Amino acid sequence: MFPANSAVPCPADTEALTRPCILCGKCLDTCPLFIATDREELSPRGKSMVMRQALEQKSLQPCSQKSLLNASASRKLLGLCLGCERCAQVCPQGRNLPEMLREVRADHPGWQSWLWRTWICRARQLWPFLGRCAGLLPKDIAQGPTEALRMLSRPHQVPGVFRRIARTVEFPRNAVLFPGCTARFVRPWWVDNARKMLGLKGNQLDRSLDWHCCGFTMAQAGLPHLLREMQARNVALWREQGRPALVTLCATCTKALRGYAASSSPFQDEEERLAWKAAVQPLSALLVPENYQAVGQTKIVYHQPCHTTDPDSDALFLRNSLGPRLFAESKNTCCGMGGMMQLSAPKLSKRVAAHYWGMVAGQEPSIVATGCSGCILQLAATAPQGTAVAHWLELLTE
Amino acid sequence: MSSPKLTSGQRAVLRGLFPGDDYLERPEEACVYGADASRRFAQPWAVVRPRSLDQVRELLTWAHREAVPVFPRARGTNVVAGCVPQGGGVVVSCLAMNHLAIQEEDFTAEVGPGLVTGDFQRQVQARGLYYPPDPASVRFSTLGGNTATCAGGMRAVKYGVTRDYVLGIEAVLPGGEMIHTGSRTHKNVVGLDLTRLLVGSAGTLAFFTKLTLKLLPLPPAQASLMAGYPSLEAALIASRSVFRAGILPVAMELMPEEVLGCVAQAATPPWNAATKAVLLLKCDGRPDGLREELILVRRALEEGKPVFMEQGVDTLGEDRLWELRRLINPASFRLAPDKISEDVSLPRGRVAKAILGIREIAQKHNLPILTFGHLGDGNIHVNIMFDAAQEQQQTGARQARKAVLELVLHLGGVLSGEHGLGLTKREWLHRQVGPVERGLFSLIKRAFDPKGIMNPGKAY
Repeated sequence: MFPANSAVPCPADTEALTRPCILCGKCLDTCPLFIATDREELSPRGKSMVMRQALEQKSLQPCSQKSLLNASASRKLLGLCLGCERCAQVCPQGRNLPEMLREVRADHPGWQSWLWRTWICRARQLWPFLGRCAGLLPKDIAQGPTEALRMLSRPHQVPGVFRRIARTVEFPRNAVLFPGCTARFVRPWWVDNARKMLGLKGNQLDRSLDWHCCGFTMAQAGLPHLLREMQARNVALWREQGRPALVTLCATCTKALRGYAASSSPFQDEEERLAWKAAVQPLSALLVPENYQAVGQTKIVYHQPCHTTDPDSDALFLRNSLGPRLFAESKNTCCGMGGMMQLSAPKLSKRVAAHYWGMVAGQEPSIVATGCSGCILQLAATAPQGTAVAHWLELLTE
Repeated sequence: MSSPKLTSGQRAVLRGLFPGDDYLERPEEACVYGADASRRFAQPWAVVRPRSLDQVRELLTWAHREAVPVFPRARGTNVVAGCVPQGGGVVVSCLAMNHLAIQEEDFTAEVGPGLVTGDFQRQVQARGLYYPPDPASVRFSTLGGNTATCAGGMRAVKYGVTRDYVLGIEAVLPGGEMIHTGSRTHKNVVGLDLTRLLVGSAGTLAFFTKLTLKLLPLPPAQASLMAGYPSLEAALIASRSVFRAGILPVAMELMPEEVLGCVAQAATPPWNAATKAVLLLKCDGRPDGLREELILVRRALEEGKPVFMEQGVDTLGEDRLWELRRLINPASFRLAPDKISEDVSLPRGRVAKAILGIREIAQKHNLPILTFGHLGDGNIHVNIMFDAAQEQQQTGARQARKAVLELVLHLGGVLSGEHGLGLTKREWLHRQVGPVERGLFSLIKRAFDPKGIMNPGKAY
């Protein structure tokens, strides 16, 4: 009665450099996109299946004629990844699917990558502009991000929750700020707050250097050449400055900058590579919690960015300075920012955000604080009324 | 590309019934629904995602009328290809049906089949209640899947398996009719026990839409003990001492030498090369009672002269020990890329004989065979590792599997204690179950599903 369609062993991705996916399903429980949608085709296992089949059938090549999978639809599906890398942390086969997807994208650059690259490269001109003019842009270009940017470029109106009480200065000799694109172009007051947090009077921290983007988004979008270019420029600037400590304000910048050390290309020699690795420091790691006093009664929820490096010095600082007023969110609480997904699938990105706010709702926070520019962008654009989203730097009051 | 085996009219019906993303037919989206943890694959004709009972009823009315096979699926963690749509058909993802209602006074809960077992356990535990079944996939498999396969788990020694906790089932039959088996009562002897029949039926009889589960009071204290031994014999002596001391632990797991080496490649365990077997036990109860029990258990375990003993008393400490046990399946793939996975069950007194016999089979075929599992209830997992790319190994693995299953049947054991026969082991059914009983299976199947559309070709 039923036409033959016999079960066969799954194609082995023998060309893959990592061990094959064994379809165990462990990743399902960690993927924020899958959890928010219940769509198995969006899960890491779903994408691994497409990749396996594609490897057997070579169907990701646009010229493939006999493929079962549609090349463009497959690439689109493989693009729907938030890049949080939670699946990589639990994969018993040691697979890092987001990394593999980046490579797939690098082989097949499309308009989304181009658009994102344009966005980041022209950040100085575009971001504040878009923040002001978002309403004037055609809706089908990037409704999600423009909405987010509009929120982001608003002056901050968060009540202060801690005050600096020490008169000392916690500033390492020969250190310089790597502010990141958001602080440079959209929220310049972060730089000022960073200075105050360290007890500095002058602008020793910010030498107004012409840093480039950390490159994280370039890597995610599958633009390795652009990433390498940014790495080379940033490392050269750091070298010119006498290899100072690099103080970061954004968790994603920290991860991306530290990631430079995984490659030898931007560095002159091994010694310089190691020096860079040691130089990148999140601002919170330099702070002494005893130098701050909690103010007011506002309830704070800390959102841990997916790209936090271990240990999470932002969380440690906030926990030690705010004590029981700080609430940690439950696990798997990705905000759904997802870099390129802002352009490719803003609706899915919003669904993950809605799931996030659903989970946080029980804690009824008035402020959600985090230390990642991308998370702030996404959370600020999707927060329910009455909940403010801020970089924890913005919680400082005089 | 559209699904090749459904007519355009049939596809239009499904698309109308499951709007938007709840109907999939593009191969790249549907392909993951064609595989499960068995690593077998058949491309589904289409995938649907019901969100309501009405949608399930309409689907099964249509599928019965059109004689289109239907393959229920949740997280797809089955290892015997129970979820693979062999022969083609419509895969039905239950993941959106994940509702939960707890009746604290009745010590019951009503759940949707798509609810993840680990999430359910956490939610009932927050109210001081307890749902004991805990298959190794507890964090990422669902109650629907656990019920369809009668999942067991580590706590079966003391608490039993999924079947012991399903009080009632609401299900839809092919044709759209609904049945309600059992009730919310903890005792019920009215009529034939259809609930126990449906549990473990591998999706072949009816589509579950709601499960009524029994809950227990949450034991306030629990602890785990891991003990390493210089030989397998020493570990088995210790395990017998525990039962002889009059103790029924929650769980008693055995990891022989081959498994220890394998896990050590994926984690940092407390054992070293001198350890040839490890026992992992869990006990629970009131704090005072547990303290006393742990003293007795330690004393019993010491009879095997352990080389190390570790105790986990808090959640983190316990989890650290149990994570090593959970790692066996994924870590096994570091030995070889392919695996034949068996989960035989033996009378408890014959476990040692089986393990030693399987070790001989491994030597004879020159393949790594991992034996491990639930020593406490005689359910032993057997993983035959091989490289399918090498014909000799593939042949050897098949022969080794045959020898293992024959040994188990010879020792009075059964072919599967937890996984079921699914697709990959179904051909062995007649070796354990007689023709008259198999005839009854067929009659029962026909009574529920006269056209044979429910997960066809599986289990029996």
